[in-house]
Amino acid sequence: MNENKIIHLLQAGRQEKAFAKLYKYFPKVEKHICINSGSKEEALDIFQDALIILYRKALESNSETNFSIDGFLINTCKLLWSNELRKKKVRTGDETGLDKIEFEDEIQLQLEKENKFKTIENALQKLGEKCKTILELFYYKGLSMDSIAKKIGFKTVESAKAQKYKCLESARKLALENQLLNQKN
Amino acid sequence: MRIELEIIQKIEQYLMGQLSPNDKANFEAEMNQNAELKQNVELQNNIMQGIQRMVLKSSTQNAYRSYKLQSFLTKLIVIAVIATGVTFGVMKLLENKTTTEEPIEYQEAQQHINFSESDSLSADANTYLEQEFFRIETNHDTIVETKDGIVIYIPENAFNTTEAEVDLLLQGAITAEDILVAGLSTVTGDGEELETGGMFYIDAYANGQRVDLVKALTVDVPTDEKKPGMKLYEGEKNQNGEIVWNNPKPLESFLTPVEITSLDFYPPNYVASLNKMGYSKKEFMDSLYYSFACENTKLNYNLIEYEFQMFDFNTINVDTVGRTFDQQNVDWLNAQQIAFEQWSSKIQEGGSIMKSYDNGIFFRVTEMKNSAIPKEHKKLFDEISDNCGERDINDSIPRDATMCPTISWLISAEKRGDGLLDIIFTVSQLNNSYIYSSIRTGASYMPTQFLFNTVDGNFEKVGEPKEVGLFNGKYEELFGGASARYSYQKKVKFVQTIRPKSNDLKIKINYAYHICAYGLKMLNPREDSTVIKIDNAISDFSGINPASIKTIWNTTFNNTNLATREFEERMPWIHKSCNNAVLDLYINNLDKPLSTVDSMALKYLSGEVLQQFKIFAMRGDGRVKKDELAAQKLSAYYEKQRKANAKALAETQQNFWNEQNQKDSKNQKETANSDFRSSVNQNEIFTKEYKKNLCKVYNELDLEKDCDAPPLAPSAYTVRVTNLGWKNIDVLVAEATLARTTTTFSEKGKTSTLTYNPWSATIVDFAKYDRINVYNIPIEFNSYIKLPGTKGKYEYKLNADIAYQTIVLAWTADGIYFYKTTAEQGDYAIALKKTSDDVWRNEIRKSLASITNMSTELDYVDYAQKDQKRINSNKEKQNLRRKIEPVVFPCGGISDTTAYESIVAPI
Repeated sequence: MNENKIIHLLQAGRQEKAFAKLYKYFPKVEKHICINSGSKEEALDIFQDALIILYRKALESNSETNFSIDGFLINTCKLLWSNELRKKKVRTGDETGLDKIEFEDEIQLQLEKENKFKTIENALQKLGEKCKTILELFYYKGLSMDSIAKKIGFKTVESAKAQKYKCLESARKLALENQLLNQKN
Repeated sequence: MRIELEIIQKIEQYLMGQLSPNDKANFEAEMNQNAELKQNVELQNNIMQGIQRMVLKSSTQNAYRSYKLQSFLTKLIVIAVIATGVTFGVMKLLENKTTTEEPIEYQEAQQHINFSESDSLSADANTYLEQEFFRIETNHDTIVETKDGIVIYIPENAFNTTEAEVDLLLQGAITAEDILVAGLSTVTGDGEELETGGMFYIDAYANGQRVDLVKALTVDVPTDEKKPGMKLYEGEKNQNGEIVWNNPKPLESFLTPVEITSLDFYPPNYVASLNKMGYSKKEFMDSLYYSFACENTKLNYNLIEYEFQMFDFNTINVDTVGRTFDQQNVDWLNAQQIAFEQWSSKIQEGGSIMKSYDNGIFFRVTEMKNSAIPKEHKKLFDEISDNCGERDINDSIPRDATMCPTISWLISAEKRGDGLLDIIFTVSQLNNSYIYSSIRTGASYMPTQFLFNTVDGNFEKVGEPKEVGLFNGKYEELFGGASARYSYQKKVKFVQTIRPKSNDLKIKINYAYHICAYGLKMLNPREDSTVIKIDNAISDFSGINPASIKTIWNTTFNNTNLATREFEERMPWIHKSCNNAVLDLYINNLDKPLSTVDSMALKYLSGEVLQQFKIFAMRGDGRVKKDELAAQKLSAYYEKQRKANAKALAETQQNFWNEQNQKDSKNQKETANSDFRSSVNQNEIFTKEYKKNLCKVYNELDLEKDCDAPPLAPSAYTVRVTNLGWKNIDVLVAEATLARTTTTFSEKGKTSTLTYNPWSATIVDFAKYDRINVYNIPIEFNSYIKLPGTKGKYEYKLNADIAYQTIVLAWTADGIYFYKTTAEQGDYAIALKKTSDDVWRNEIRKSLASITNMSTELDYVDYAQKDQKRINSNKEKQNLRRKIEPVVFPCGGISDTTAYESIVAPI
């Protein structure tokens, strides 16, 4: 599988397949994180975040852009992990071999953007399953309210719409709560 | 739609570019004006991004699942063929005696081995799989991880080599593709089909030579989700060079130790119960819990033992008051009535000889009113109580049955640890008497002694019978007035411990008792026997010995199976099993996985607990990595230390309670002495008051009688009076004085009246005091009496010709409360005041210095008050222990008295 094909998959919205291929880099990342006082679970989490960042990068770049996917992915993981360590204050020195990282600036930029979304995402995880599904179908899959109403089993489009806005409202509440919580901490 | 929802809709339309250019411009203009709206837009945008991210995240997770072994592909290809067993394969190296048949081509530089076909371990499959090498140093533990994510823990010196470095070769077939490529089968030697969780090959070389393992390696094979029942099979090569799988072993999952002191090993609900009672300090909860520790899983009862000996006709006699007299002058066997002075002169108290009385002692044993006493015993009491209830020539006061003590017995049995059984005799004696005096009622004497002489049946005696408890009741006034009655109750408990040898027990108990009768009449020791039956006599201590918990619940056992959340989960159930053997299993098998020990424990268990341990066993919890030697050492340490702890804890308890018992005993003696002093005073006061009254009456009636002559003591008026005259007056005055009743005497037209006025005192808030002493002091007699009272109410009859002082001394553990007044006719409500230091004492001394024995009494009050704190705290301790014991030993520990009392018929 060449790199272009992966980028194509990502751009074509078939990211799941692309991600599955990209997991071949995971053991390397896992090893890196485990050596640097992380757990397997943490490694998986970091890797998955990195996949998302790669996805966004792929969407931004035009089809001709040529960049080394494995380099970008692994460096993103390293950077994410070193941020995590700094947060945990496990180590003060930098032992993660981060002196020169390719794409560092670019990754950092993505990370900052991503962080905001990640916090929101964490908050949204508390939403009910039904709400999650409606919002995902509408905002991500771009389905019409008509088909959503059919899919989920609302009698009218209007009630589906009202439900969607209510879900959005509770999403806002969750997000705001989360913000407050973060400010406190 | 609500306005809030409309705003959300509007923002959404804006963000999704659904507004018309006009609307959009308006909206943006509004946004610039309205900061809140702007924030809301931003938030909603973020939410939309967050939703997207949520989808992405779940994509990454789904992708991970497909990436991992248990993927669509594996199931499709492998499971189509395979169904029954489950395996992790390991191509065999462990314990294999390899004599290298021919040199193995091992090119260190290239890090590749070309296996020969005749190699004993490797197979065809090896040629198709990537080789991964790790050079490890043998002198320390090493952890390596393969590209496939297989993690291997290699303990130091795990290989049979002296080389400092060993090359470890790993080949993994974790993915379905690899398994197919390598042509590995999933068939056991018996032809069974397996579902695989992955296969790997381990090989090791030192200096180009294959080396054997001498210690087990631990291999973690990555998996998405743990499937139960996975086993490790060893791969063996068959003639065709194919691998077949044999020798399955269950997989081990290792436990993560945590700090052991952060775990909770208490019995279930222990902490919650104590918290509810207001105790929450860990140190306190520990020390309380450990105080239940017992040696040999046997509980030590905190029975209160007194220095109290029963009459023993061969040795010195000691009564509860602590006065001793020897029996030499007493012909115990043929004693009929021994005059008081014969022995009273020998009573020693505080080093001084007590004055003797010219009275006999009123002490009677009478007909048993308790129907539980069988006939043959009744005969005995008839014999000695022939005087009771009849009017005796020497006794002016009519006797009736209510004045005679009633004695009743109860036999019960209590289970103890180690299969021991306590047979308990409780004897209680109830005296109803017409006078308030411990001497006159004979309340100081417990007339019974049990000798568990011969016991036959299938059991053996353990030690000698012991008195284990004495209850000295308080005097209670039944009714006042001329024919006042006081009630006094006491109880004594004897225990004989036995070891039953069968479950169905018949015990014949021979016992002897002495009876001290009227006028210190001591009869021959009587012997009798009774048979008691006990069902279900054998039972072992059931419960977890706190000494065991103390031994393991400390940092010594950190990094062991015990220091895990998994073990903590078992602890409440171990407590519920009530079997120390279950706990011991876990401690003695630290080298085994918890699930193995769970299985071992099953045979000890039943019911709900058994079900729970089956669940534990199924969970397959492993163990904490620890070498066997260390585990053995810890088990040995436990054995030794548990005994030492048990002994030390039990001794601490024992010593503490022994000391407390001695102090209790002292307190009791002092209190009895105080009562005794008061009763002596009462006699003296009677004598003096009688003389005074007599003089007054003689004087007022103009009788020329010398009232200074030695007055008649109460016994004197027991002489039957046959002729009228002055004697009659004497007797009447004596009776008036004794009964404290206003009486008018007339003689030849003259009258004289002895006036007695009622006096009473009610102590305000009487319940808050631990003890209240009310003294009435006829000052001119230089003596005092301690009044009996109930519920803070005290009564007396004041002689109108005598000036009285009332002193009330009450105390709590915190201090002394004091009140002093002149006593006159009437009802007093007395509110006591707390005094500090010796103020009360000086107050009393100032005005009442001349009162005989007053300062001794005050010393007693001082002592008793200071001792009160100790008594209260012991009471509290014992209450708490009683309350918490059912929690500490959910199966009841060792005692279940009620179950037996119903079986044992009282005699």
